[in-house]
Amino acid sequence: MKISLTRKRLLYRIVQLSVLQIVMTLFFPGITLATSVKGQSILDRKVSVQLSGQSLGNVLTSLEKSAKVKFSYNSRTVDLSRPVTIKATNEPLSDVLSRILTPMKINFLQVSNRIVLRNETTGSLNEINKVSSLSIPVRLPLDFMVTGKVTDENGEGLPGVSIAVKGTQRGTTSTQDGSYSIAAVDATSILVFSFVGYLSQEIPVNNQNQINLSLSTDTKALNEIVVVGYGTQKKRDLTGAISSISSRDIAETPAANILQNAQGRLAGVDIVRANGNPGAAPVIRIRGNRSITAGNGPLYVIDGIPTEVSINDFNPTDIESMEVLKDASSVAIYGSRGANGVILITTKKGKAGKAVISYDGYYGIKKAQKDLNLMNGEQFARYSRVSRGIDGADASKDNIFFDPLESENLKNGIETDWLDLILRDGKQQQHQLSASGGSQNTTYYLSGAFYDEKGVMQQSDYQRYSFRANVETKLSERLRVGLSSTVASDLQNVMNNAPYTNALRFSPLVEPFDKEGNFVTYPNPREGLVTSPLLEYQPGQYTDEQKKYRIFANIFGEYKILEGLTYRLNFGPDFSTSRQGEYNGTLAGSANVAEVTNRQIFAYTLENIMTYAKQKGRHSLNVVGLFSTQQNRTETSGARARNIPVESSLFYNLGSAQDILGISSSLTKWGLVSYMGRINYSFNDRYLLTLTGRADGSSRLSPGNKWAFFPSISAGWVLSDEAFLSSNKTISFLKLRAGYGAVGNTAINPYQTLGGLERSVYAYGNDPAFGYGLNIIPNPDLRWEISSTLNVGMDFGLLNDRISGSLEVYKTNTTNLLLNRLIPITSGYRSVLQNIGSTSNQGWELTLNGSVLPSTSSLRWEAGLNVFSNKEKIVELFNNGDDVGNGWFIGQPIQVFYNYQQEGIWQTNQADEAAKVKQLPGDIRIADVNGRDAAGILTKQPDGQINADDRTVLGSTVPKWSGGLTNRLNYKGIDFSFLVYARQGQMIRSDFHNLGGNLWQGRYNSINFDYWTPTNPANKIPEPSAASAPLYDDAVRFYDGSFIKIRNIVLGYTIPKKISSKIGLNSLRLYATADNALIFSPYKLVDPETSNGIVGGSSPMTSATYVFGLNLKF
Amino acid sequence: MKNIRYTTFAAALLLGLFSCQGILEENPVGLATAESYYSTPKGIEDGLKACYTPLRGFYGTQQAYFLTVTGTDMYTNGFGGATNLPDINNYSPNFLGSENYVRLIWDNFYVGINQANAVIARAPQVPGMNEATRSRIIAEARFLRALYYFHLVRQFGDVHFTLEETQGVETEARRSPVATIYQEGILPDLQFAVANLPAKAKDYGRASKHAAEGLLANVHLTLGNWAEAEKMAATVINSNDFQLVKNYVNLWDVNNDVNSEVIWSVQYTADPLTNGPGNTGHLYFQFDYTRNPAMIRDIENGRPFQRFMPTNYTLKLFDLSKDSRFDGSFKTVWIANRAGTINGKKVMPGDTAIKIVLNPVPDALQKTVPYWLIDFNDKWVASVTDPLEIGGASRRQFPTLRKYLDPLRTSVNAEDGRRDFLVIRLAEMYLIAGEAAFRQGNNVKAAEYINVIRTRAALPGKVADMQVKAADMSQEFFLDERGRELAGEMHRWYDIKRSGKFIERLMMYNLDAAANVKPTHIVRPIPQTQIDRVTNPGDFLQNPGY
Repeated sequence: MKISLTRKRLLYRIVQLSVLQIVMTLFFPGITLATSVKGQSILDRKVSVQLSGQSLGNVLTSLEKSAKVKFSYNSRTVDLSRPVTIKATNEPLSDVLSRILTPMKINFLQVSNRIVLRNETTGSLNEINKVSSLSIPVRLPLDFMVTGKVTDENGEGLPGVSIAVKGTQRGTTSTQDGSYSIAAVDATSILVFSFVGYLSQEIPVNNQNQINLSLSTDTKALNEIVVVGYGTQKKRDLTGAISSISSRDIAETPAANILQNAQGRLAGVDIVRANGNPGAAPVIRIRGNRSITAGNGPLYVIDGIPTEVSINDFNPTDIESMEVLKDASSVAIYGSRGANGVILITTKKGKAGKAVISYDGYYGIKKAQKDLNLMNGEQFARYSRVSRGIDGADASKDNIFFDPLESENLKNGIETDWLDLILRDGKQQQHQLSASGGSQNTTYYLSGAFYDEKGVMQQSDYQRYSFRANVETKLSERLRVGLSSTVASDLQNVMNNAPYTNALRFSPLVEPFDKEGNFVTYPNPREGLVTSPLLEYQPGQYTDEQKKYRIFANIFGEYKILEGLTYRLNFGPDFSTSRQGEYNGTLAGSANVAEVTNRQIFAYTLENIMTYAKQKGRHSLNVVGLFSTQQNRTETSGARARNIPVESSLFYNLGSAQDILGISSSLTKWGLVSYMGRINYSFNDRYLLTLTGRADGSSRLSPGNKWAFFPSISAGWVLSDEAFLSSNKTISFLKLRAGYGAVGNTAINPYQTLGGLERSVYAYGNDPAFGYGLNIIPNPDLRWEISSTLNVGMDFGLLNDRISGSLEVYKTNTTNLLLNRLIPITSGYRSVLQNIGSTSNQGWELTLNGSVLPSTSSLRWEAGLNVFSNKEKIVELFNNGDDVGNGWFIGQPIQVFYNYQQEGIWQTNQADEAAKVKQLPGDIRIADVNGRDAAGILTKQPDGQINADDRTVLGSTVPKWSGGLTNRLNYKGIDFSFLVYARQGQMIRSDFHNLGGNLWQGRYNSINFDYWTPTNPANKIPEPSAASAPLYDDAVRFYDGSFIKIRNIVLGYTIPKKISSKIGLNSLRLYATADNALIFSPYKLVDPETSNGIVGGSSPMTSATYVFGLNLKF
Repeated sequence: MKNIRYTTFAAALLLGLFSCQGILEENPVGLATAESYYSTPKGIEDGLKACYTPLRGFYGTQQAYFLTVTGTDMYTNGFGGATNLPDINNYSPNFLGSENYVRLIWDNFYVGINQANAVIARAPQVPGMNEATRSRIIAEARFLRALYYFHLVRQFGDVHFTLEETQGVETEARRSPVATIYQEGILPDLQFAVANLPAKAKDYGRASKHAAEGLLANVHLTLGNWAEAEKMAATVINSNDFQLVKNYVNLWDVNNDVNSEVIWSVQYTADPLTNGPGNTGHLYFQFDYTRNPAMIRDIENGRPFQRFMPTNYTLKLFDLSKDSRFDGSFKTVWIANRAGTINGKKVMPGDTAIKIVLNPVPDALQKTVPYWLIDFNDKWVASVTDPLEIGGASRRQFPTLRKYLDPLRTSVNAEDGRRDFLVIRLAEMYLIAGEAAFRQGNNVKAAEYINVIRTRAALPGKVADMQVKAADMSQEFFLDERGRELAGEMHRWYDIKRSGKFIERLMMYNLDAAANVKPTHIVRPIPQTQIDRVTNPGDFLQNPGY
C-alpha cells in the first residue's frame, strides 16, 4: 500500500493531537482541569508594546507574537476593528489587556494556554434574559463546572477524548479512565465531545454538574480513510465513485468468502450466490454486465497486488476493508483491467502497542429446504394414469405401466420420500486465532484460521486452513520494508447433482433397500436408466475432490528520497497449485472411471511506484507514477482412465487402469506491461481535481493492437465549505463531483489472435489416426474492448453528519466488444471472436447512513441503506439487428429469456381454436405474437400460426433494482443487527417446472402440480401424456424471481468488562446469527436467488444457516 | 544523495531484468496453426485425417439412426423412442428446426466439408511432396466432401454449397439447388476420387477407388442415372476385390467386422484413445429383456435403449422357410442369466428366458412354457395390449437387430462400441446393379444380380427356392429386397424417398407416422440455429411446412 500525502498528513495530525492530549493529561492536569487556579503564568508575562490608532485585531496579533500567547474570541461579538492606542514597557500582560479591553467592555481569562476574550454585554444580556424569564434574580457564576466520564460503546472509559465548550476555545481532554472536568461558560453552554474514530456529540449542559456519556464508533465519517489504489484518500477528498465495507460489516455474516459478507451492503454491486456447493464463489457484477464474451468479473487487488486467481483463499476475517472502485476515474489507474470495476482488499495490520491476541469462532448448522411438494405415491399413481389417458382414480390398468412392485407398494401404502433421504443438515464453522501488535518500528498481524463447511448433500464440503502474516518494519528513518502474505490450503468436495435430480424424479412407490437392507442400484424395476438417488452416496461410488495450495504475498520496500518524494517497490508473487480428482464407481453397471487434473499457476506483479506530495499554502498536490509488469504462467496436466482394478485406489493409481482414456497437458502464458500516472490536486481543500492516464500493453492482443492508453479526469467541489453554505444548519457537508474516463478489458484467453488447430481423433484399422483440424478462426485484428464512463456524484452530510450519504448517476458505454459471436456453421466454424458491437449501462445509486435515534440516547440505532438500479442493454451487434441465434437483442440486457409466451392451457371449450394451431385441449397455449408477410419479413402481428417466430423476450436475469438495509442496535452491551436484501424485477427459469424430455410423461415423478385434466381446467400446467412431452414445454418455466430476504440477523452480547476481566479476558462477545433464513418472493418453491437465472433441476439446494459464535480478546 | 543513486540504480536494474518485449510476445508452444502446419507434408496428412473424424459424428450415432432408420416403413418407435424422442419417427408437429438431432448432423457435416475444402485447396501448394501422394490426399478429401454433401442434399434439399475453405468470418449462407450441388460438387468430386484413389487404400479405412465407385453408384442410382449406376456397381463387383461372406449371419459377427465383403467402413476401435465416442448402435435396437424374471442386464445382452422397433411390414418381409436373413439380422432368443420363476416354473441360467416368434401362439401355451413366449398377431403396435405379444407392454418386446450388438464392450453400461460401421458392402452393389438394370428394362440381368445375394442368403438346401426370375422384378420387389438385405443399415429413409414411395409406404406400414406425414416431410427442417445465425435470413428460409 502506498501511503499518500493526504493520509500521512492525517496520520500526523492524529498522532500530534493524541500525543499532545496524552502529555497534557499526564503532566498538566492542573491546567486542563481548573482554569481558576492562581499563578497563571501567561497573564503574568511581561510585555512591551507601543501602538497608536491600530485596530484591535492588529494589536492582538502583535501581542500574540511578542508575548507568545494565543487569543481566542468569537469574531461576531468582539469587534476587532475598534482603534486602540497603547503604550507599555515591561508590564504584566494582564495589566496591558485590562487597559485595552476594559473600556470596550470585554472580559478576558485564561483557558489552558489561551486567552479567551468575551464580550461582557453579550454575557450580561443573556443573563438578563434568563433572569427575566425565570423572574427570580439569580447570580450565576461565571464558570460553571461540569465533570463526568466518557466511555466507549462497551462502557470502558475513553482516555484522550477532547471536550470543548461550544462557541469558545475552552477545552480539555479526558483522563486515563475517561473522566473529565471542564469549566463551562455558563449553565446553558453546550459541550462538544469529539474523538477521532468516534461520533462527535454535543450535549447541552442544562444546569447539570455531572454529564456522563458514551461515544459510539464513527462508521460513516467523511474523514474515513479510503483506499483508492496506489494510495489512500480521505473520503471527503474523493472525486470518484467508491463504495466500501469494513471489518465490522464482514464480521456480521459468517461466510467462507468476502463476497458473501459484502452481499447487500454495497450500492451498485450485485452479488449473487452461484450455487449451493460449499466453497463455491458467488458471482459479482459491478454496475451490470458490459461484455458479452470477455469477462465481466472485477479485478481483485489484494494489498496492492492484482490477482486473477480465486479470492476464495482469503479468509474474510483477516480483511480490514474492501473498497469497490466503480467509475472510470477511480479505476483508470488499473487501465486495461478496470472495465468491470476493481475490488481493493486491505488486510489487517498490526498497531504499535501491547500485543492483542484474539480468538474468533463460530459453529452453525445449515438447514436445507426439504418440502418441495413432490407427488406422494397416490398422487404419482394418479398422474401416471392420467398420462395414459386413464381416469386418475382407475387403478385397474396399473399393471400396464407400473411394475408389480409399485402396484403392490401403492396398495400397501409403502412409499419413499427420496428428497428427505438424500438431504442432511449441513454445518459451518470457523476458528481463528490472531495476534497483532508491535513496537515503534515494527508492527505485525498474524493469524491462523480453520474454516469448515458441510453442505446439505453428502460429500459436499469445503475446508480451508489459512495463515496470514503481515509485518512492517522501519529499517531507518527513510527506509521501510514489509510483507503481507497469505498461505492457504483448501479441500473441496463437490457432490454431483445426480442425487438431487434423481430424487426429484424417482418413483415414490419403490424403496431404496431390499428386504435384507442392501442398497439397490436400480430400485425401480421398470427404470433401467435412472439410478437410485442414493447411488453416489454409496462407499467408493463418487468422488470429486479439489485440493489447492496458495501462496500470495506482497513484499515491499519504501524509500523516502526527499521530503514528499517516495519510491516504492512492490513484488507480488502468487503461486497456486491445485489438483482435481474424480472417480466414478461401478455400481451403476459402468466400468469405473477416474480422472486427475493438475494445475499450477505462477503469477507475479512487479511495480515501481514514485509518489510526490507537496503542500504549499492552500495548494495541495499528489503525484503518482508507476511502471509495472505482470505475468501469468499456467500449466495443466491430466489423465483419465477406465477399469481400475483396485477400486479403493480411486484416482491415485491411474497407471493400473486397463484403459487410458485421455492424457493432456497445456501451457498458457500472458503478460501485461503498464505505465501509469496520476495527479491529485486540491485547492483550499475545496476544489479537487484528479487526472489519470495509464498505458497498457497486453500479450493477448495482436501485434500493432497490443497497446492502448486509458485517460480519465474527475473533479470535486466541496460546496459546504463555501461561505453561502458554511452556516447552514441542515447541510453539514456537501460535495459535488464528476468524472469521465475510459478503461479496457482484455479478459480473453491467450492465443486467440493466432487461430489454431485442434487435435482430431480417428483410426485406420486399429492404428491411431490423430489429425489436426481447423478449430479457431484467426483474428489478427483483435483489440481492446473499451468502456467509457461518465459519473456524476454527490456526497452529503446532514444534521451535523448525523445522516451522511452519496448519490451517483452514471452511464457507461462499452464499444469494440470482444464478442464470441456464434456464426452459421455452414462456414465450418461455430463461433468467432471479434471486436464488434457495443453495450451500455446506466443507472443510479443511493447510499444513506445515519443514526435513527439521537446520539445521546442510550439505545443506539444506526441504519444504512443502499438502493441502486442499473439498466443494461445491448446497443449494437454485428448486423444492425438482433442476433436471435445467440439470444442477443438490441435494447435488452445481455442475458434474456427468449422463448414462447404461455397464454394458458387450451380448455375444453377452446378445442376448435386449438385445432387451428394443431393442438388439443390440455395443451400449452402460446401467444401468437409474430408472423411473416408474403416476402418473409417479420410483421410483429399475429398470423394464426405458432412457430419459431413467436418466440419473444420474456424477461432477463438482470434485476430492475436492488438494495440493502442494515440496522444496528446497541444497548448496554447488547447488539442486534439485521440486513434486508432485495433484488427486484429479474426473471428466473424454474427447472422444477421442466416438463420436457420424459419429465411430464407419467414416467418420472415431479412437483405435485395442479395440472389440467378434462375435469380440472387448470391454466398453467398441461395434461401429462405418456406419448410425448408437451409441445412448447419450455414456456411454463418462467417466473418473476424478485425477492426480499432477511439476509442475516445477528444478536450479540458483550460481557461487561468487570466480569470478563475476572476470567483474564480483555473482552468477550457472544453472538448468534441466522443467515438467509427469511425469504419473501412471488416464486414460492425455493430461494429464487441464482446467478445464472436458473433454479431447480440441476442447481443444488440452497439452505439457511444458524450460527453461534464468540469473539475473545486476551 | 548516495541513497538516491542506489535507488535509481536498483530501479534501473529491475526495469532491465523484466524487459517488456518478452512479456508481450505470444509464443504458444502447444499450438499449431493452419498457415504453418498445413503447408508441410505431415501437416496436410494430419489435416486430411481430420476430414475423417466427422464420419463418427454420423455413422453409429443415435441421431443418424433416427434420421435414416426410423420414420420409414421398416422401423418405428420402440418404448424408448416413443417416450424420449417420438417426433422424428412420428413426423409430429413438434418436429421442427429446433430438433437437436437435425442440428447435430448438419453441424457435423459442415465442419467436415470446410476441413475437406481446406485440404483440397492447400494440398496443391505443399512443397516437397510427390504428386501421387498429393493427388491421393486431394482425392480422399474429395470423396469425403462428396459423401457429406450427399447426405445433406438428401436430408435437407437445397443447402449451402461451397467448395472453398472459409477465410475470415462468414456469416452469410445461401441455399443452392440440389441439382447444382450434384453437378458441381458430388459428381465431379467422386469422379476425381475414382480416377485418383488406389484400388487398395494406403491404410484400412481410408477411401479407396472402389469405395468411390460404390458411392458414385449410389449417387447415380439416387439421381436416376441408371446406366451409370449399373456401370459403377458392376465395376466394383467385377474387380473381384470383394467376396460375399458365406453366411449372412457371419457378416455381423463382432469379431468379423473386417471381412471380404466390406468395400468401405467407418472405423471404430477397442482403444478408447482412438475410438472417440465409439459406435453406439448397440444401444438403440434392443428391447428391455431385463424385465424378464430370469434376466439381468449384462455385457453380453447389452444396454437396452429400446429406441427402434421393426414394423409389422418388416416382420412379415422374410420367408422364414428359406431366407436366412431374418435370423441373420434379428435376435429372437434370450438365454437366462440368473435364476427366476416364469409361469410358476423355475428357470436357471442357461435356459431359454425369452423367445419371440413371428406367428400367433395360443395363450394357453404362452402361460405354460418356462419362458416368455412372445408371439406376433400382426396387430399395429399401438393397439397391442397383451404383454406377451410383440410390442406389448407399450412397445417393449420386439426382435432385436443384431447388426450392431457389441458384447465386447468394457462394461454393462459402456456406450462406446468398437464395431466398424459398414457403409458400403458388396451386397449393396448387387442391389444397385440389379435395380439399375431393371430400370433400364433388363429384368433378366437384374434377376441375375439379385440372385447372387439371394443365393448367399438361402438357408441350407434352399438355394433353388430363393432364386427370383425376371418376371419377379418390380419397384416394390427392389424395395422389399433391399429391406431384407439392408435392414437397419441407414439406407431405408433414402430408399423410400428416392423411390417416390415415401408417403405411400409410411401410410401403409408405419401408422405412427401415417397420422402426420405430409409431402413436406420429404426434406428435414433446416436447423433453427442456422436460420437464426445467418445475417441474410431472407436468403435462407426454412423448408416449407416446418
